[in-house]
Amino acid sequence: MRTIILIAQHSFKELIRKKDLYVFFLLLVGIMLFFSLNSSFGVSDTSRYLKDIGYTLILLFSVIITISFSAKQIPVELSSKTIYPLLAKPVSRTDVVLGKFLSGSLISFCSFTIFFLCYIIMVLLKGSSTSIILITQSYVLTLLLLSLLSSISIFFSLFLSTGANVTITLLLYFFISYYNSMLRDMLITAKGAVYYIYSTLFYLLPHFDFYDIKIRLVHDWDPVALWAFGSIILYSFFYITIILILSSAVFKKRSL
Amino acid sequence: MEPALQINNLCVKYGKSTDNAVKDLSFSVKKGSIVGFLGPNGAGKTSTIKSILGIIAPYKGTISIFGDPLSKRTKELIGYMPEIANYYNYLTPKELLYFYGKLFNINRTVLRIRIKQLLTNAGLLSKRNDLLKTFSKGMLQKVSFAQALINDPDLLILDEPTTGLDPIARMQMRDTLIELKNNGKTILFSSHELSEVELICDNIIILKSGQLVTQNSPANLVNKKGEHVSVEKYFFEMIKAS
Amino acid sequence: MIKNVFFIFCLFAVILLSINIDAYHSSSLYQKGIDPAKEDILHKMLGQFTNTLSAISFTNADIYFHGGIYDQDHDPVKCMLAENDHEQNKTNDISNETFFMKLYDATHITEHRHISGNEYKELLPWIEYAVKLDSNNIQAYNLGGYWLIYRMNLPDKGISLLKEGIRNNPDAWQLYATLGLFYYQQKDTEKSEYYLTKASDLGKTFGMDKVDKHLIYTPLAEIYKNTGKISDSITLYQELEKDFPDDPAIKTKIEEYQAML
Repeated sequence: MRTIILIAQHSFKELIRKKDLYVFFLLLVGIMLFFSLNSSFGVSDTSRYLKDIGYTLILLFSVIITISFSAKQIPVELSSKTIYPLLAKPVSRTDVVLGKFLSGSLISFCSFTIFFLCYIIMVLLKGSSTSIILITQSYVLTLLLLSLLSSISIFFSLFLSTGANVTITLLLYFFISYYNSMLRDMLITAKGAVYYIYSTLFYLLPHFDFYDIKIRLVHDWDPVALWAFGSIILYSFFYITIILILSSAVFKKRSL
Repeated sequence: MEPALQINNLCVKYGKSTDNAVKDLSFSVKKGSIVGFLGPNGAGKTSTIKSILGIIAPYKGTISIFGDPLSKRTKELIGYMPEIANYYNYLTPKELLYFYGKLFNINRTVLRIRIKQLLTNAGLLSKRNDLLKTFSKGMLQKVSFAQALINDPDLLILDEPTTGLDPIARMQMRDTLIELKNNGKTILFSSHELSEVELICDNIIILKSGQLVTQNSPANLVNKKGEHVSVEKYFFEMIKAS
Repeated sequence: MIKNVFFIFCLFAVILLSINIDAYHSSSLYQKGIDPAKEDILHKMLGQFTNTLSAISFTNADIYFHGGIYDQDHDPVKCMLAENDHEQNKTNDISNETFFMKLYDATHITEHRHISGNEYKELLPWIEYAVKLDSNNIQAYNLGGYWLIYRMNLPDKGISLLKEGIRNNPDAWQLYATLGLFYYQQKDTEKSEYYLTKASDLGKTFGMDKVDKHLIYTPLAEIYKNTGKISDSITLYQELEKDFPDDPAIKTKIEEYQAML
């Protein structure tokens, strides 16, 4: 555990020193400031569009940071050969995989938290109010989503180039987020062999749509039921664990 | 006295290749000695080193470090300096040494003192807070050597330690290695600088095509005529003959 | 990565800046008789893509009206399930079978609701973006005008928006109709007659359906009746009777007004 945390910690410095986070933050602040100062037809106290656009932006930026950062963790270690002095220490390949996953997750947590705080401040200044439970749920669920994306990105990085990995993971994320409801509807109406194919896809693919409660947050719907919230946390835990076990097994077999 | 390093019948293969990178290699390294590990490019030196460090798993053979098989515990006794000094360019040398030191679970106070000492010996104390991406090749090589010593290892494995160093730095490196040997450390280093090997090594191991050609001390190297020859001459003759 | 982000940042800056420049630039262009939409930096840069963004903005206004949900009545699967006979085309009723499906249903909002009261204002930004991004988005002008007049109680702004829509789309009978209906309710006969007549004339050429015809002809017919043009009123009702032969109210009006002649 100590080794895993150490590997994660030092990668964190990369985020601080590479300044990508600051660019996204400035972009976010700039865009939200512009939209918050806007008054449509002289009516200035509209806030849902700001919550909507703001949340979309913070989620998008956090997803991009998570995937692009996680995708290059192991490949960069391999290409720059820093993996050799690392593995020469009392560090196993499993430690490396878990450490890189933890660093990807930490970085996504940090960046999303900063974006989220900025978002909440802007929304509150606009005079909007949202349930604390919804805010907490959206924060926790997004952190889980980013961890899941980090684990998938780390897994793909063992097979794919960084560019291909980022593209495929992003496509997977957007495709599942927007079309999973279509898959569910097709599953309900499918018969025979097609039903089993859709079933396999439905249960196997990661359910990124579970984590998106933007509609609830923006339009003041009820929070997600407690049992469902707990189930998503468990689902995340198990899915991430399986991905990391697979990643570790693949990385152990890989010749360096 | 058990050897610091004992390798028996080591065989290393990469992927689905039928050619062995290392074929039935056996040798030992005495405690407290400096051993030169030589061979032409592709001889299997790096593959052997990677196997010793546990970076790759041999498909046959045994490796023991101070009598024990390779494990996380025995890795704590090893210091490794890679051939190419690439490190995390967003870290400073102080942060890098601290990171590697913590991997060995070294006490914070001891680690701080040791880092200061290592950077002073390397002449890099004034640059301890500069990012590694600003370092020259020679400076990175010095950092590389410092990180190999961070855990005060009993067995040092150095892959071409003098590459990129100026003549004065090379001399300092040689002096440091001799000093370490006098302090009871065991050193196995590969190098293409045969004259250097001759100066400081107690023993040399020569590989070719994954197999051991010879293991002997420089003083005992003789040609076919039975005449004593330098390491360089011996090396070329053996390689040509094999 | 920083270069890409910087490029996106510059693109955003130009887009955001151009929207504000447009506000000051438009009025001077109108005076010169130039369509400001065609001169806009945004349109020059993004071309037809602004139309797509406008359509997205308008859709968002619709989504906001339904509490953030796409109207489920138009969901194709729901429609199909409703049409299919359960005995003949049994579907896989698995919604409640597996925990996973229950979890899916618990996390997704499946019922829509309509906003009300203080929430009406939330549509305004999307309507504004829709009309700014595409000056030919007649639906957006129409919905915006209706919304400002009837839901937000801002008739001046609504009328201003509708007139702007007419300036950019001179053949938009829908916008004339909305204005005409508003003035009709305000009992401004002159303006109402003008706009409804324009809507009627343009609508005949540009695809007015029978429901729209009913909406325009009925108040126009009443205006004709109130201003003494009984025969014109009857003519309109007779045209409506062709489309709605079984409507007793139309028959009654025709008979009533014929008796007045």
